Amino acid sequence: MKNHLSRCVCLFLMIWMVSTLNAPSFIYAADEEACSVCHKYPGLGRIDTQTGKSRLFYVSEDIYINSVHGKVLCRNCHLNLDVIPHTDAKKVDCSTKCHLKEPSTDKEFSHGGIYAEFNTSIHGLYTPEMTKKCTEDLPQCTDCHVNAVYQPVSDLTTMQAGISQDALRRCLGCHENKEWTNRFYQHFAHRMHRSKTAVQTVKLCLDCHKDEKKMARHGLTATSNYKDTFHWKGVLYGDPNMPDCLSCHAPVGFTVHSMKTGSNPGSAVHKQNLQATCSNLNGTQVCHPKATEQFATGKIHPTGSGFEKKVSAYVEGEATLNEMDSLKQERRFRDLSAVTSEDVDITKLDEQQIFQRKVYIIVKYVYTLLITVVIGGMMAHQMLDFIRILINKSKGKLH
Amino acid sequence: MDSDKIIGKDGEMMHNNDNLPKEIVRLNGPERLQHLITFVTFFILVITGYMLKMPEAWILKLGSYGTTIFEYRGLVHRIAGVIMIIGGLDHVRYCIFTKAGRSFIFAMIPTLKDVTDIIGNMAYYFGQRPEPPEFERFDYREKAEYLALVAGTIIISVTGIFLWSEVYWSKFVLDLSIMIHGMEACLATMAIIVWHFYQVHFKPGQFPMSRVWIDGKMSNHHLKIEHGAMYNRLVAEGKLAPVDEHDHHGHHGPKSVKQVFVEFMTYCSILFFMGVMFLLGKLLYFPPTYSAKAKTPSTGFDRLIHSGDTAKYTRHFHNVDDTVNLKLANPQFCVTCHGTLPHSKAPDIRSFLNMHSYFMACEVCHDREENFSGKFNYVWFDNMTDEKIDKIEGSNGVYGARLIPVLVSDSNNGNEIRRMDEAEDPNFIKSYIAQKDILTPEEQGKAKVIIHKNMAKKPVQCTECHNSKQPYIDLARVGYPPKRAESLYRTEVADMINRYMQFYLPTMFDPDLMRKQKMNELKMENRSTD
Repeated sequence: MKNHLSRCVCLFLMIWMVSTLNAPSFIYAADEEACSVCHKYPGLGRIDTQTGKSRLFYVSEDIYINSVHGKVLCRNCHLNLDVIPHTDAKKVDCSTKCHLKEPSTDKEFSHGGIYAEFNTSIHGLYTPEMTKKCTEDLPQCTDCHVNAVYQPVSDLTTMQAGISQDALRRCLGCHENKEWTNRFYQHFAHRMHRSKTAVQTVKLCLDCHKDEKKMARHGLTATSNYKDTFHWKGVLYGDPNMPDCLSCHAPVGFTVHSMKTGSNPGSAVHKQNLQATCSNLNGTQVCHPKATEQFATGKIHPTGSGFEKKVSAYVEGEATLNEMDSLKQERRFRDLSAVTSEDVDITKLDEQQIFQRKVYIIVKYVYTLLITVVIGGMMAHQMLDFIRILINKSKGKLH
Repeated sequence: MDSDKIIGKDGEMMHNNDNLPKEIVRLNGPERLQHLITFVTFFILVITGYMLKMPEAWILKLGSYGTTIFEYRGLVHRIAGVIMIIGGLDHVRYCIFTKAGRSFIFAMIPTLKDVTDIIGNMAYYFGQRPEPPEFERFDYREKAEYLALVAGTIIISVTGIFLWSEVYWSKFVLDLSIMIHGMEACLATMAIIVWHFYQVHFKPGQFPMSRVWIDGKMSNHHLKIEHGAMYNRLVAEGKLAPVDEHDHHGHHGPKSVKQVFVEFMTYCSILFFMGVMFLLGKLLYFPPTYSAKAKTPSTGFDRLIHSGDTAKYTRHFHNVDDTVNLKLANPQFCVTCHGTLPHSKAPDIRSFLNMHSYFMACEVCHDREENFSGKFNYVWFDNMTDEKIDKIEGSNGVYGARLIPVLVSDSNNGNEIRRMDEAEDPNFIKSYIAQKDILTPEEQGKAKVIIHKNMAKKPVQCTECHNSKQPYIDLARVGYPPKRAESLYRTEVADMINRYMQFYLPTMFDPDLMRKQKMNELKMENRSTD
């Protein structure tokens, strides 16, 4: 094996030398291992015969070099690339240390900290204190994050995309290395705004949260009503002031990586925090600054399909109160969160809320019925009128 | 009936029939203004309101204009709403404090006659009586519509104000308000189209449009038909000239261009409003749902197909660009069946082999010249236009073209016989694909043998091309830049292969050897070699 390894190292060196001989005059820092000799071809990939998924091994150099990881070597993340083909390559673990020095601590940088924080969150895999079921449903780093391409802004007031040459000029006064300075500028400016648009964020969250089966496995109901809201319509039109999922679930003061269940006081949508979340006084978006306590009550996503069906069935007298209770039993978050005695079932509706839901559903049905009867009657009436006119005309009667 | 002042020639009451007015003022100035304000604000409100219910794809098409449109949408909706409410309050003032208004509102009050009129009119529609009942100033249709308008305006204004002052209300009030606001809007829009537009716009006799809302006038002829009771009363009172039966009504002779145009536009508007009705009905009864059941592809083959969708590519961590989707205008049968990533058997080299399918046809390696009577010319064909290309542009295998062998006859004139990637018998393959599912496995096997009969037993091996001594294809002649051809023969690529064969995987690029080696391994481990 040792022999193998040394051969491989030797080989890598050779390939590297060979490739640098012919390479253009500039050499990408990230590709000092000459990975792109093979990985620059878009067709490099295959269909996994077991899962049927396509595995694409193409990495566009241009994109990579302009991405947030552009300075990281391939082997820093892809460990164990000792042989070709890379049969024993390990799956990338984002929490490994990546041999870049983090300037504030002068230690090796790692996503390990945030990964650990994430694991204690509602989306996290597990912690020693709590175990979770169906861990394959839970999101991994790469389910939300891709190797983002830098999207710097040139102006903080308009958030216009691009590089402010004026700002860069001042940096270059001291920092002579233009490439480094440019990169440093982008490092900051990229983080002055969200790299995902609100529509993308909503799509990302809903990819899982609209899936009824997946949600049911965790005692949750699928989010079905966000897209009926005014919030979503504004997002769809591209209004930067309109809230996507994270505007409410991870506003200023909360982070997306430590999302908690709604019954946890650490959650932005916990009863105690809701008014502050709606008014969003610390955020850049102007939401409901005058939100009263009353405004910030009630369920924003009450209509899980199963839930609405049961309630409407209940209204129609088909379900008994017992079934309502069993419904409440189903929707517990026990498996997902560390349940303490103070935690309450957040899906549990009090008497008043059940009454309100009933009123809402009845009004909706009554109105639909009203429209059907009124418009249907009108159509029938006009149809009769029209037919009578035609009959009269055919009989030669004027008018 | 002061609003229905009779217009005489000199503005005076005339008693001679010839000098009596032939038309009445049905809507006076203030009423026409009220109608105009309601009409304009209603349409603005409907449009700006339903912009929130538009299909998502339409909204996304607005692109960067969406933000601005959305901003003004809310503003315009509020302004129009306020004007509508002010107009409504003004109408209340008009009905209370002016004489004309009081007569208007009294004429609008439903009476017992309306009930008998409805029954009578229905009897007329069903042919049970020869003439419709004679209506007063406002018939039951107009009264119903007016009352619906009043009720609707109140409901929609109140809920609208609730929504505007949202921070003071609970979620329940707001939920209810937004639902009722939308439902009432739906009801109003549909009623306007079905009830009002038919009555004053589409109905034969009114077509293309009643002009009462513009000049306020109605002829005695028209009045007699639609409001017989009022006509009789006015004639009896000597305030209106009776209809002259010899008088010609309506237009005769050829239609003017303007008339034809207006009628054409009216037909268009009928179609348009039918479309609107359809969309509203869809919204009401089949609102879009946004939760979904997980789709599980039914068969393994389906799964394979689904895995290739672009959604998967875009989620790739390394942001693969569009070049991974090989686009062919006319994909040959090889590609339609085997896909653009066809190789999967040889684990050590399958990805390398797949890479080649992005810039060369399967037949480059899988057809050998000696199996055909003729010679192979290797020619670049554009992926989209299928035209021949002399010089390739681009890099990393992304040339927008693929290398395809063309069979030419042996004789001196070198006639082209066919492109090798085109099937010799396409109809056979088509019918095979169509009937594949009903064939037995044996029949399928036989058909496949026939389809693949020209394929070389041993495809062209890596080192047959990537060697400098006797390359299988003259890459420089084929159109590669000399430097690139050189690297393919000797340096970058060929060297890598060579070294791999020497140092690490002597069998790597030779599937036969590899298979033998795998077999030996399996035997060593006492496992089945089937």
